[in-house]
Amino acid sequence: MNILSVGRDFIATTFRLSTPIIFAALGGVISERSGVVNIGLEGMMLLGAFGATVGTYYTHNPFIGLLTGALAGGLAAALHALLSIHFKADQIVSGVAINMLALGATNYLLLLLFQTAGNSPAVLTIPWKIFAASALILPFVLHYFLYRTPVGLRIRAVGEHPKAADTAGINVFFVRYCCVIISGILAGIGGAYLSISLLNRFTRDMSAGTGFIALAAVIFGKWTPIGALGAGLFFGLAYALQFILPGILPHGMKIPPEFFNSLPYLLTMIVLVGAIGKAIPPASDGIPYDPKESR
Amino acid sequence: MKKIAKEILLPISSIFLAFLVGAVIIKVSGRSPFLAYQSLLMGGFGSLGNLAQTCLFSIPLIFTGLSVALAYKCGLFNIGGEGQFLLGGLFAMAAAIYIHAPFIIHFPLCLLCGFAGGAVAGAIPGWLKARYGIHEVINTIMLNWICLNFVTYIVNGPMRSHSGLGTPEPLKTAVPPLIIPDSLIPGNQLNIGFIIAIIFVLLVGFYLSRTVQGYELKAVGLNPMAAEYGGISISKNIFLALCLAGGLSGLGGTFYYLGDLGRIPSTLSFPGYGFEGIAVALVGKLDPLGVFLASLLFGALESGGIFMQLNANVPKDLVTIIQGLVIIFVIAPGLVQSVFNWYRGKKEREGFEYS
Repeated sequence: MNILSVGRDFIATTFRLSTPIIFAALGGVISERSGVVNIGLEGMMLLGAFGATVGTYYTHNPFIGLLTGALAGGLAAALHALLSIHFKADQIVSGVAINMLALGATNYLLLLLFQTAGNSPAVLTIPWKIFAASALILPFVLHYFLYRTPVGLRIRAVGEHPKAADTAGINVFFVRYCCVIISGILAGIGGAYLSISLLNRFTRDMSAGTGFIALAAVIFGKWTPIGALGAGLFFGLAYALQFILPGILPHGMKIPPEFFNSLPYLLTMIVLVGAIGKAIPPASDGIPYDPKESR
Repeated sequence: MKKIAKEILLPISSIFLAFLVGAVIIKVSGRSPFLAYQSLLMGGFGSLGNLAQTCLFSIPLIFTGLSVALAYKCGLFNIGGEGQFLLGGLFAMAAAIYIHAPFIIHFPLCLLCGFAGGAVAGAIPGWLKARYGIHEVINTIMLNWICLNFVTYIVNGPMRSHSGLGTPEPLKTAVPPLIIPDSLIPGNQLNIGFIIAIIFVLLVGFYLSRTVQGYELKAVGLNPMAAEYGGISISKNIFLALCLAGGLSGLGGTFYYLGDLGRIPSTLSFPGYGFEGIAVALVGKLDPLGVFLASLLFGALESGGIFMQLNANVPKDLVTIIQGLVIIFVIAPGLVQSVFNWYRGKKEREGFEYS
């Protein structure tokens, strides 16, 4: 094994593992920028992965599968939006409920549609490089959108000070609904990538925490699209390291894979303490907007 | 009396609506909702053996539910039940395997270690919140995963048994003894954890409503600024609340791994009790007695779910869906209200048509 091919494998693995994190994290950024916390990213990814598999299985077209996956994530997000925006429910608990529902629903349907508790049948796939390339471009598009366009300004205004935004004539509820649903669509695409690109089937609980890593990436990236990209790549790199290190480290030296698996979470806690620069969330993140309340 | 009725109206109607939606799901799946719910009920309460199973499944839920409720009283959202559950289980298991002592010392020591393990996992976000003001939700979520990885590493490394299934079994002196002798209800596994859980329900209730410390904790939850003005330390109570909450979840893990499973398995994933504890606490209206009743209900769902899958051919994962739906309805009273309004309106409209 020469050093060049090892390096190439390493970079490829990093991109492959970063891609789902980046997609879901971008979803988290846009939702939280508008002021709605989205703990349900994990469940939306899981539904996206399942929706994509089902869509591909019945149409034999993975691109339609991608659409159904995005749709599944978007639908779950619409429920989250309804609960947390319209009914002013606790956004964190709502997210927890979405995650539970997603886990229950996918396992239920897995048994019902495919008569299995483990893996769905194999389906057609989309080349991973298409996803990876989009994951690299999309953050910059989103950055331009959020910081250079009037709509982006409105979204940020709604997340920072909804009352002021409302007074200025922005429909706070509408903006939040849109952002949360887009967030679910992005998480759904991230999930679809898992089942119809990285793998070629749905497996039980296949998101396995990727949504929570994305949540960590949102915070680690300080609630910005470019930051989410950086965090996603960095976390992907941490994962890729555990595949490559055994070949590089001197004989007998071993770092347990669990250490690398914990790294994203540990780093996020450290960044929150302020050791790697302060992470400040949007001012009204997580607070339901009530037009009747004076603030 | 009327006040109590009003208090429990939302949980009851939420549970009702969740089951209703569940019935629609079963119907759409081409199965019989009636048969499914009948088997669910039978599996949960149908025989003494099933009832014992329901009580057994409710033990970890009582602890995690109390954990969430206690933290909530202090204005904190403990979403880290899973990690605290795992770390508590690990500490207790270590004490159960490596310490040799007679039952009367060994078993309480294991409980203490389980509590301590959970409390450690609660203390970290507690300290970070008290010292730096970092929102506990993020840190408890992060710690869930760190704990999962840590416990996985220990179970497959230093504590790995020769069988390779996970940790060795706990010593006989550390296993929670059964309440009901096997000769009375054959095959029952209901252990003393159920009684200890009930004691903790009473303890937490007493702590919150009858002690100065509990009063301070609630005062911080209700209005931190006013509490501080009254001489109550916000940071001390926040730290304490998360330590206690963590300890409670840790006890749940203790009974689950020492009793139900008899080891910590090598292929480890989140047991789910930490998240269900949130549902239990909300359905129980954050009241210890309510948590107890809600835990019994959720325990019955778990034990009945297996029965339902066998009898009515409805995947037991429906139980998870119903649990998720219960949460959704409980946190959105407006949604429940509008569903009932819609139903009432529909009945009235139909009435007009006929008249």
